[in-house]
Amino acid sequence: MSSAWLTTLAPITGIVVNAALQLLVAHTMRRTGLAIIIGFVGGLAATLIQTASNISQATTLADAIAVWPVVVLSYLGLSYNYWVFINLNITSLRIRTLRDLLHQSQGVPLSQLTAQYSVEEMLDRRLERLEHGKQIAYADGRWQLVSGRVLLLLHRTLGVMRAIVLPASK
Amino acid sequence: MAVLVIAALFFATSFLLQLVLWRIRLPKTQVLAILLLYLFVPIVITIAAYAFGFAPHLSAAEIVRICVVYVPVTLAYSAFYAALELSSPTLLIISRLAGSKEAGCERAELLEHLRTKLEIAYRFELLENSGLIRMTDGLVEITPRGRFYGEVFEYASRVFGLQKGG
Repeated sequence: MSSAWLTTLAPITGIVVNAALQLLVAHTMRRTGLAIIIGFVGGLAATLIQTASNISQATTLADAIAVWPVVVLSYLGLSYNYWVFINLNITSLRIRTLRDLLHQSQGVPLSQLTAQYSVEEMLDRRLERLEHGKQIAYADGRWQLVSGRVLLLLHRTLGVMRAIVLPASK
Repeated sequence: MAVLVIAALFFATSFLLQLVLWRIRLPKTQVLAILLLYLFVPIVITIAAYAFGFAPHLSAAEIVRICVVYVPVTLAYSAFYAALELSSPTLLIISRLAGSKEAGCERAELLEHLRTKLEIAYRFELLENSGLIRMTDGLVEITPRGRFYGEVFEYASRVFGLQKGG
């Protein structure tokens, strides 16, 4: 296979390595968060190594430089989609609803579903997850932010994006 | 360099068109509309480029490289967009705690905050609009399409060692 194709397929190699490492760590160490991080870093390393090994074959210096953002962006896009897929399993109410409905032989009253997926339960699940991830802490009857800076930045970014993308009436 | 420029052109054009179209009329299924828009815009640009003689000469590897960067970035954007449609309970909690600084919040305050910001029923509406569930006479049933996705995630949770969330 030519170096151009190996460079093109470097992000694909990366995501395969990402998934393989994530599966390995998830099943051996039983730590989802760590598995995701190790998978991401391992996949990125594989992507960069495969690209670097083939970059010398680029026709011009501009092409050699331009390949890096393309490859990294491709890998980040693939990784983000992979992470979203995994995260939906962990956090999405809608996915949980679908999985619960799978085991129902007949229709479920909407009132039962809305009672089952109450705001209280939603809050308690998330407080437990955030506390387990050491992003918040409970002391003297109150919850405090410990290290949720990344999530806070994400929240603010979403707010800005919402203002740009969605019409003012939404 | 051509790969980067072309992929950026595809995405930027699709995004600008989305901003305009969304202000004319907000689609009922926004994420699906985004996927279709971001699929058709590059096709139209490519056809126009070849028709008017602007298409650069690209190798097969470069064409595939454009797809390898554009498709994941578009899918990532559509996944990110889904977070715009609905407020994330986790992020609402984080923002509330950040606002309270050292004072922190009691559980009751966080609960009240979520109650005013979250629309649980809207989530079920979105499932119905996407054809994944059917609501008839107050009863909720999973559709064959919903069953397919439910089984995919059920299988994924076993493969990836994940607990059921929500």
